[in-house]
Amino acid sequence: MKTAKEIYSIWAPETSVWSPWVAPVIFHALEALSDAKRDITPEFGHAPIPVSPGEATAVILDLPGAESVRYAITLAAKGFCLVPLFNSSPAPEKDLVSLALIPSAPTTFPAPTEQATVSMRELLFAMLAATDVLSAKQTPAAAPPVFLLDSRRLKGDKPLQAGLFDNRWMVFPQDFPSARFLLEHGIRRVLLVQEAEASPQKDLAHVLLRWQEARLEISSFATARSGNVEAIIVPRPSWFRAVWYRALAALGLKRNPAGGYGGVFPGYSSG
Amino acid sequence: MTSMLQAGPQLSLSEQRTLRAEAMFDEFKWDVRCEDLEVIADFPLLLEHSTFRHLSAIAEGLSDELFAAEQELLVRPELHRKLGLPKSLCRCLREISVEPSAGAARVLRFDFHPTRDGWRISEVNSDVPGGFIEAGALARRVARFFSGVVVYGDPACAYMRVAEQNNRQVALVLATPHSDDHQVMFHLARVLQRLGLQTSLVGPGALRWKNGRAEVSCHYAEGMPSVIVRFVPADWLRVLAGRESWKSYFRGSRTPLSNPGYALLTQSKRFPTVWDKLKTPLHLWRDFLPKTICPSSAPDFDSPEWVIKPALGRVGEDVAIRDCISRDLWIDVLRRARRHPHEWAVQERFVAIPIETPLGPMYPCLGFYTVNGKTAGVYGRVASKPLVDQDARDVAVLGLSEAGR
Repeated sequence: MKTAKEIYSIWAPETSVWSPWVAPVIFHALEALSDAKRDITPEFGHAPIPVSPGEATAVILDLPGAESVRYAITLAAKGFCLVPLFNSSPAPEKDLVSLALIPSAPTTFPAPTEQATVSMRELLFAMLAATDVLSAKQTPAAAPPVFLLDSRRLKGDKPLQAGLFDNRWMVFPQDFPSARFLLEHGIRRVLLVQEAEASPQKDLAHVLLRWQEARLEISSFATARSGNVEAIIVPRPSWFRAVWYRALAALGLKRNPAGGYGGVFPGYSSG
Repeated sequence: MTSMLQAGPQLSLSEQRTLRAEAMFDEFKWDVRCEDLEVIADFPLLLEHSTFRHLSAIAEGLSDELFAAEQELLVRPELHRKLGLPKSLCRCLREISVEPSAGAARVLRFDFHPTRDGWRISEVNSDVPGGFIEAGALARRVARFFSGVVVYGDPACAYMRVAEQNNRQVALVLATPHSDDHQVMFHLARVLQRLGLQTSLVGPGALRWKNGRAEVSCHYAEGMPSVIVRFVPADWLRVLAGRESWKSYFRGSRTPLSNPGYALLTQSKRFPTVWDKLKTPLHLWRDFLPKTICPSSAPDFDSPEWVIKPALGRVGEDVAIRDCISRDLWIDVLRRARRHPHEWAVQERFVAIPIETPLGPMYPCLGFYTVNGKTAGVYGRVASKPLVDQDARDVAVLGLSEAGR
């Protein structure tokens, strides 16, 4: 069984300047699953993105869970450094705390639901499979970064309903390197990869607009269209640069009475 | 004065890496990075025992005064609007016929700063103080890299030990998509589980009250918690909890709450603006908190002599000192404070003293926890500017044992 620390060290090698941004949350779940029977075998085949490491370009993969990982592996093979930013958990706390982190802890309330607002099963198995690939690979120290996101993070992949574990999440500018850091490390362009849309999701727009204001070129590529890379102007999102954005964002995400990340949607009509 | 508080030696690169990994995976500290800033300082602060005892005594005295003032404020609803509380909250708190919700394990954190005029506090976090992981577990892990040092307690353990007394099921209430809030509750849950207790993390809307007793009822968690530990700011509950349930966090709950929602009465940065109307003596508060008034009483509050704070601000957000923040932010805060002065407070700025650290001069802040009025640990932060906000680093606060002195 691989521990969370061991898996993390594969994704965040000490030699990479981008490793400090690898989000640790998901690695607890990867540890819990590392010995599980993998009934999903992701295929890391053809996932072309028109970019190469020599182009001073950072990539953001904002694709549905496992798809992000699939494209990331293609980019890793080209010489990019992968930076997963999945800031969420697949299950209620006691699944992780009681079952994975503290095996001896008492089981308390009734059995948890296996369903979550954002299903992470495929993503987790893809991450585990990718761990195997990366563990046999040496990432060049100067490799440009690929930030991995799950495009379903804000809305989930199913309608909110009673009993779902609400594990939606958001990204914030604090989750990424600053524009200054990117520029200091030779990054001049950022390529946003999404399924179909060219414009970034609202939370990501807060990040990209900061970068664009610092003269980083932002462009977009849609995997569903397999078209050309196109330059984009990032629209100004609500509450841009508002210092109270984090608080308002949290309130905005919680459209259900159980709260957002980490809460369970109990299906009450209040609110 | 700063000789009583000094930076210890820098950890080696290998020690830093070990500490970071342990923080993330053994202690649930997930917010180890904030943009380009490594959040965990790679050196400790060393605090003299005599200073620790001195500040502990002050924190405990401040706690006693705060609880007395809170009791008086609960029956003085005419003062609540002056504290900058929203109208709906004031209406709820005004219902004196309904008993205030039962409190349990009252946890407070007082933020001390070394200043040119001695130690001063900038504020108390009496609603939902954070920093438990850093003050206890993380400090212990840093301490092992040094000889002759001690850790000044573990506030999470002290807090949960008090919270669990005679209780079997603890509901840990949070409501945020921010994993850095979730990590705190994971940590507290683990402490409770080690004490043999049952825990459940739920959103504030998963709680309902029947005849004053809280009930958790959602798909994966149900039961009658015997105590509720809350990590949701009380002023958010109106939005996050159910239309009727939210009031029980303030009044009417017989299930004890830690902290009860009415902790907002003293959490408000405008608390000092009603002191003169209270019978409760607040001698220590007057000694240690700089003069704090309504912006409307300070025509010159746009000068660098004042610190502008939102009445219900958190983690330093929106706190403004003219020469410490960007011009855009300063203008934005000024505009809002002028438009709604009764939602803001201005505090006389003290001259904070930096200490020398391996990262250069840094401004320290020591957060002293009290649980039910007794000191429970210290949360250290250091900042490169005299404003401790979300850009500050967490730093372990250690004491020198006799052997290490």
